[in-house]
Amino acid sequence: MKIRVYSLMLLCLIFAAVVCADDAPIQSREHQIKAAFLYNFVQFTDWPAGKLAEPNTITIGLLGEHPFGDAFDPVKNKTVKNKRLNIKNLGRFRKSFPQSREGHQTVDDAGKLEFVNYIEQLRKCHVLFICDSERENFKAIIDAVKGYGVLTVGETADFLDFNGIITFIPGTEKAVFEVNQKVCEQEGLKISSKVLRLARKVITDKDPAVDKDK
Amino acid sequence: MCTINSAGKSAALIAAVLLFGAALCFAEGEANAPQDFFAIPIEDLAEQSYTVSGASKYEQKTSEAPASVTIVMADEIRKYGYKTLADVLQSVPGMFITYDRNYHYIGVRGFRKSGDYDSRILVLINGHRVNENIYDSTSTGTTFPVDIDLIEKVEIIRGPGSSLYGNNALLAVINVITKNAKTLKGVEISGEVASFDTQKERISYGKNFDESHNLLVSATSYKSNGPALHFKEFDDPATHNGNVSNDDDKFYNLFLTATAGDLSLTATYLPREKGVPTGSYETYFGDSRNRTNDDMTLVGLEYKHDFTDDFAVRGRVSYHHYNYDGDWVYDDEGLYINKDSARGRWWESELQFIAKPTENHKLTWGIEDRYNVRQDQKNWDSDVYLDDHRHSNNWGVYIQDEWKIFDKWTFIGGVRHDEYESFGGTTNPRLALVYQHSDATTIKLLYGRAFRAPNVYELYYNDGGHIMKAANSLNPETIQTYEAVLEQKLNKNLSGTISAFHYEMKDVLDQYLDPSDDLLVFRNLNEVKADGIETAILGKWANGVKGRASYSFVEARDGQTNAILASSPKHLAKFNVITPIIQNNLFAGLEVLYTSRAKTLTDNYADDFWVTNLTLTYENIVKGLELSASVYNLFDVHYGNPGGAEHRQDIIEQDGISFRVKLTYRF
Repeated sequence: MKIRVYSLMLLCLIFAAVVCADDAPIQSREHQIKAAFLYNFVQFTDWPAGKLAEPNTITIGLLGEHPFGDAFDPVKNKTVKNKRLNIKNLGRFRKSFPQSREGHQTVDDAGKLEFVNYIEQLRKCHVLFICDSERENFKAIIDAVKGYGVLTVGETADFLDFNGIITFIPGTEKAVFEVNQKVCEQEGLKISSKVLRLARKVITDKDPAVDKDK
Repeated sequence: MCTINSAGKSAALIAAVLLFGAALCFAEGEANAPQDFFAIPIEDLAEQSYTVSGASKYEQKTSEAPASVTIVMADEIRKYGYKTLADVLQSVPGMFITYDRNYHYIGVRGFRKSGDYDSRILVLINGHRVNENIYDSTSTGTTFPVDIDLIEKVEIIRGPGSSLYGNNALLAVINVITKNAKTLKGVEISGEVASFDTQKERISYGKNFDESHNLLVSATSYKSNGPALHFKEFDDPATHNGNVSNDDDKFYNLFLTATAGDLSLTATYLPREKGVPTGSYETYFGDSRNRTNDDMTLVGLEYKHDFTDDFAVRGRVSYHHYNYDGDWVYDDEGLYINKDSARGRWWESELQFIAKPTENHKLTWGIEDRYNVRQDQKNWDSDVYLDDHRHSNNWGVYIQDEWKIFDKWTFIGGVRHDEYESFGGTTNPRLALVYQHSDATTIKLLYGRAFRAPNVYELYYNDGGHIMKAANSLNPETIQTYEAVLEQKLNKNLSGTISAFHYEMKDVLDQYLDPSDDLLVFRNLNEVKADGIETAILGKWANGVKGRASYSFVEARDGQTNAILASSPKHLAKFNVITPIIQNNLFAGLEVLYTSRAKTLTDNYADDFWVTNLTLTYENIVKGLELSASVYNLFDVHYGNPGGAEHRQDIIEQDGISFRVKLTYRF
């Protein structure tokens, strides 16, 4: 009855793998690489003068249930473009804030102010990474930051259809991304050719596919 | 019964398992130190591969494909220490390998027939079909035409594939994708030494001239003296008491891939020479002149162009060589060598179109042709017994539609018609309904019919009236398969698959002893009916641990006698895990394979067995240098595979514990 012994051991091993591994912070190599890409995007993008005028920070905002963990730790507070790099966790997008405990919407002024402040935070970002978890609100988010010179980055195949600027294509073995140059220009951003060269696809004005969502 | 019986070995196993568990936990602790990708230039960043296995690709593919699919990536091949394609297939749910100390044979879903050469499985290399045109063999051991180190990805697509691929795709299609200069850049030198006086060396060079032009060239040399063997069937002073040492194996491989825009070229040449130690075919046992030479050459050109997002064309043309030479030593008042040979030369061409006429339809259609320039068989010694020269042509047309009926429902329907000079036409459909309940759950219902055309060996081989005569006219074998597949993501780390299948094979070709002249001849004799289930769990964690566990059960029976088939183990269990021990540097790959007992040709049983393989891989000892150490059959389990009709051995012993050390340097 060696078989049973072995099966038991197999089970133990699987169990060990699951228990040990399941609670590990999700910060895969994939997202370490993507974090480094975001860092590079900051370096290789020129923002309009106004966007860089104010405080002495450059902000990468992370919106949604993001899987970066502490991947950004090595570059936190580092100086980029003569400014301090700020990594900001923005949590999940709050479309209908605030809500009372019962779930009814309240429309008091304090609540409105909080919501406005939240949107303001999004608009202040230089790079805004929007996770797949916010898929339902892609349009609302991108509309909210439209005209504020925010480099929006996603990791969903159809992110560019919502007028996002850069998206990492899911299901690839290496980082593969596409750039929506048209929206980029509308926002007054200039992405270096160094980045554009690496893109799998760059959507320009001539490409009508971008207008899908309008 | 399991053949491990010493308590010491069991204790060792338990210790290993515990150690491994500890390593898993240790690996987690190490996982939090992120590698500094921030220091890497952006161009190089784009070349860094995400963890490893194309797990995401796998998920994506399986849920879309009208079949149950397994993918094995180069990274796993390295970290599990696989030596040949046969090792890769051995680890895959539902598959098992039989080795007769000359060739490796693939068994799928309980089916593996002794006396033929994997003719019911189609193997593709970069899309080019490589089953040769004499025996239809696919050869997955050291005869496989590409060095395992040059394989980037192996896709195993279970079930009938004739509706797209035509001949041979009865039980599975195995698509081997090789490396190119994008996946192997610069110079790579690799050397390995292993048990049984085995050495392998390889040098490869990959260069990207620009984005669309690249070249990879590689050369490999392999030599093994093989273990000393003892066969109890020959335990007699006249036959060296059953002791032999002519299990030697040797091959070279020259390989090239190049891409220029939409065109890509694959060229490979692999000659292999093997000593045959088993005294098969009643040959003179222990004579080292008993040997086989096989070589295969593929030169294939592929053209791929996407005219628009909705219309693509793919064309391919390839030329193939296959040579077999067997030297068989016989004793008839003095030793003499009987020579058996085959010469295959053929052209393959295919033109395929893919179009999306509307949002909801994806159409694939195409035409394929195979022109067999030579299909020659010869057998001689002092007399010539067989000198058969053939050439032939066959072609097929196919169409498949992937129709998104509703939001969550996709219907895939395809049909292919093939025409052969030998037996005429055959038409084979496939129907699949895929229900994507959610991102996590996919259900597939599949039906398919597939065929195998009788090959020239079955049709025309004869030895001048000694043992075999030519059949001259045979019908194709067919299979009908029904399958239901459930794919379920269990959480963010784990996904599972359950598949239940039933298949029926008809007109299966087998040798028949004609009582009128006492000669063996191929006939469309048998039927096979099989029912089975396959379950698999795949896991992948953020700390780099990944693995799969699978169990499959099948009952494959003879359609007439209802007896369980020979060489058909009912239960297969496989457990594979790769875990980092030092993050980004040291990895352990553990594989535990269980195969239940299998009936032999004499209605005995080859015992069930567990085989455990362990590989440690240390990457970047210094930049670009990798060391790996493997132990195969860690617990030195004694086991054997059922022999064929050509063997006196009912069961052929397999290797005990063996080792390999491999050093690879990239610069």
